[in-house]
Amino acid sequence: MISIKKLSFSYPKKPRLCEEMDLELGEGKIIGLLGMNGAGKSTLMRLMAGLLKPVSGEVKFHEVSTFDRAVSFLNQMIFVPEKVSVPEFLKVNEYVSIYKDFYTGFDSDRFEKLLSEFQIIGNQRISNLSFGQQKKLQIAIGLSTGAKLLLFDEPTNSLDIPSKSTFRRVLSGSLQEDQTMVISTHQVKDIENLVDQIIVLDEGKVKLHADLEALENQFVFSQGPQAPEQAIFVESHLLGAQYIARQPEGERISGGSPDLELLFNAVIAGKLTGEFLSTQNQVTHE
Amino acid sequence: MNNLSLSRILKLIKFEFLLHKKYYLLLIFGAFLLVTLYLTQYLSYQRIDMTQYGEKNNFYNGAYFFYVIAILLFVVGQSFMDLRSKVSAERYLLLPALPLEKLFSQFIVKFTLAFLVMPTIFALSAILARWIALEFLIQWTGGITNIDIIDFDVLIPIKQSADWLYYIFILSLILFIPSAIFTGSQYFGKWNIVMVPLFIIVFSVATALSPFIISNLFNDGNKTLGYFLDSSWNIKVFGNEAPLMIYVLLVLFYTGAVLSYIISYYKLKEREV
Repeated sequence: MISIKKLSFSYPKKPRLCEEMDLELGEGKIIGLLGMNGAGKSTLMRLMAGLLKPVSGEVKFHEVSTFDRAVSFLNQMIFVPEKVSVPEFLKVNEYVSIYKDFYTGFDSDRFEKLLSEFQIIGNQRISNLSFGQQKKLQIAIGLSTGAKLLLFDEPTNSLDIPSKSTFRRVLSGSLQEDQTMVISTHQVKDIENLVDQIIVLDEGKVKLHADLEALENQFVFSQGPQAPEQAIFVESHLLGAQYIARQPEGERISGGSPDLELLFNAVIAGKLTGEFLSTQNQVTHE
Repeated sequence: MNNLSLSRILKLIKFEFLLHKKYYLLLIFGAFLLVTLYLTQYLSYQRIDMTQYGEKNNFYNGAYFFYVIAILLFVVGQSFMDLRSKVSAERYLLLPALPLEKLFSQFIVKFTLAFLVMPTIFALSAILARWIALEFLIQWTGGITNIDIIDFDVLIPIKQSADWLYYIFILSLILFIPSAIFTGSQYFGKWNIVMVPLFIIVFSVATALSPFIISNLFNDGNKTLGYFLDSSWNIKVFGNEAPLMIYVLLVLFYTGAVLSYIISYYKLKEREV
């Protein structure tokens, strides 16, 4: 669905954020995009949304360059930025009418249902909504457009704890098979048990691109009083140690689904990098 | 889906009025109120009866001249308001519509407002102001009582002339100045009302002075400005004579009028947020 080839990008008079990056995102996935502050997560989201132009290389959606901002692309893509700006003088229904006009696949029933889940009243003024509620409104709109590519930049920022829970529940039940959602966040816990693919950016490069299921087949993510000798990454823990170790040959130990925070730290430490997708089987580690 | 769509242009126009309705309401009602108040006061204190000089008591031209300048700055010069902040620019650029459709919708809204709606507002204000002045105020101010109703001619920027070159020159200004101000909004944002008029003045003066400056750079510097404005330099085209500089400016203004919109289109297409 999204094809990124030899992408290089930098802001004017700033150092390169990414250099010759290659990435392919398929359909039907919820993808978590992780990285340290300044790693380029939001920038990559904006490049995928067509808001930024690559310095070199290409970012394409079904063979169409995203920066061309063709109608056929924009109609299939929704981008919810970290800082949402909703015209406060409008009513909710008036604001939503904009998206109903332009997105031919807008699902009004689904939108009403999401409003209800997020506890937002449709005919009230947006100025009566808190910032968190405005964010939920934008998320509800995003999920109702029928877009094939949904880009959410830090969606859980400004959401209270119950809303984060609602967000996870709504997302896990919402995605169609031909949709792809990319969630950029540094709040790893908010997307645990939600995403099925992870991309970790660091120093302008994709350090890890992996299906969680495939990782689970290759590695054990566990904790105990001591880490095994062959563990490739260890972090101290209240009860001893959290560790990542390779699955033994001929055996499969179930350590539970990958701990995303542990995984992220392992990648940033350079202990676990590579591409590990269900169609491929390449992983490197030190 | 990637072809020009009238339906999307209309949706963009609806979007423009929905998101900026406060601005448009303030503009229309504010213009009506201000013009009415000003003209009421102005008409009430007219003492000189122009009919004795064979003229009409049509005292609206001066006010309308400044009104037109205000329309250019505050209507045409406020194009693409959604591109002025990062967050609204994100929303606007990602609306599923072609850049050309977005350009057309802005052009239609701004120029319909500027050349149809706002002159109508002025005319209605003038009619109301005259009525208020004659009915209620002149008895106290002692102004003249035979004030004419506003003429349609007042609202038309091109006045009668025997010289066709006059029409062509005025038309070039009518086409160029709004187009430059329209495009300037994408570059200067809210400072457009200052920067583009400044640019037009500087550009015109620089062009007019250029032969004098270049001549003094490359020649012996004996030529004065008057030499270049001498009528012996007048070029005769189809029986009309005018200084060469006028023809130079004509070419520049007509070219500029077209190029402005092309620049606006590409600026929109290549905009990054």
